[in-house]
Amino acid sequence: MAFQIGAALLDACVLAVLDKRDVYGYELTVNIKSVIEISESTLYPVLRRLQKEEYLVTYDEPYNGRNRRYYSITEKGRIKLLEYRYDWKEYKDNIDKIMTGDF
Amino acid sequence: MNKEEYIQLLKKNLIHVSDAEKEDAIQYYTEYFEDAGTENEEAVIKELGNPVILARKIAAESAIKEIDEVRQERVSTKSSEVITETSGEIEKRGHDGIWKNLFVILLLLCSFPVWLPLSIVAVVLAFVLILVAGIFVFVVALTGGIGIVAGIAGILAGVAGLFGHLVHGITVMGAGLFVLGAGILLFIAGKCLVKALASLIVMLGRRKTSRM
Repeated sequence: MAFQIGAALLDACVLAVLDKRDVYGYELTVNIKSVIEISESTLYPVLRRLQKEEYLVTYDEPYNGRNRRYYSITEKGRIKLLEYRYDWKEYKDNIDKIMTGDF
Repeated sequence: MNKEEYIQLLKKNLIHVSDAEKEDAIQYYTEYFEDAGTENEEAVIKELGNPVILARKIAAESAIKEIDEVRQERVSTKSSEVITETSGEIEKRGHDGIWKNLFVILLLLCSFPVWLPLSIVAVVLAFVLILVAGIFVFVVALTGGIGIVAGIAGILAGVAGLFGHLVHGITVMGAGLFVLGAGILLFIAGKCLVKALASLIVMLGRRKTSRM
């Protein structure tokens, strides 16, 4: 696999996953790793960044006598996701144009 | 190395971060190990890599976030001592493109009685200009063709006349030659103009439709 995923695109993917439901760190990593090649340490900075921008919030829930931190998308995050979805469609179409020789 | 040792090393090497950041990172990775389960402990340690390096990556990210906050807080001049060694690709996305686009659309909607007829006129004008150019080129080529025919006819007439009145014949022949030459030149010019016009139209057409 020749291509590396950029920071903004990663942000978008995480928000897209969160849009479906709240997840905890490990679960999110497993979900994304099943589709994209990333390292186990990739997502922590992404989550911190998204939290700083207020696109997600966290809450703790007890699990088997210990703690589990869940990530949840905010309204601001949903709006940003719409923007990301639009940008992605444009980006995807443009790259497709070049790659299929349609230019 | 086991999970506890890894976390300890991570904690120890998380310098240059705030206590809150440190606590958050440790909690994240502690929970991560726990959710991965003991069976995956070794694999996780391997994939996370050297805890010292992981700690540095976390510190770098946190520093970049802090710098972004400071940038937003004060209207400052460019500071070039930003951390350049980052983990992965940090892009700066800072614009509200969607609002700009909406504003432009609104503007266009309000002003359409002006730009719509103007653009219709422009299109028609362009079409007419191309038509006129085409006709001009055609006329040039046609004149050239006629010139060639007339020239040849003149030469022949001149040759015929030679047997009668020499001077008259030579004059006619000369005129014929001249017209022939001019006709050939005009014809060639016409052909070149046609080629030029065609490639111009193609280029304009391509410029309009290509947009990367």
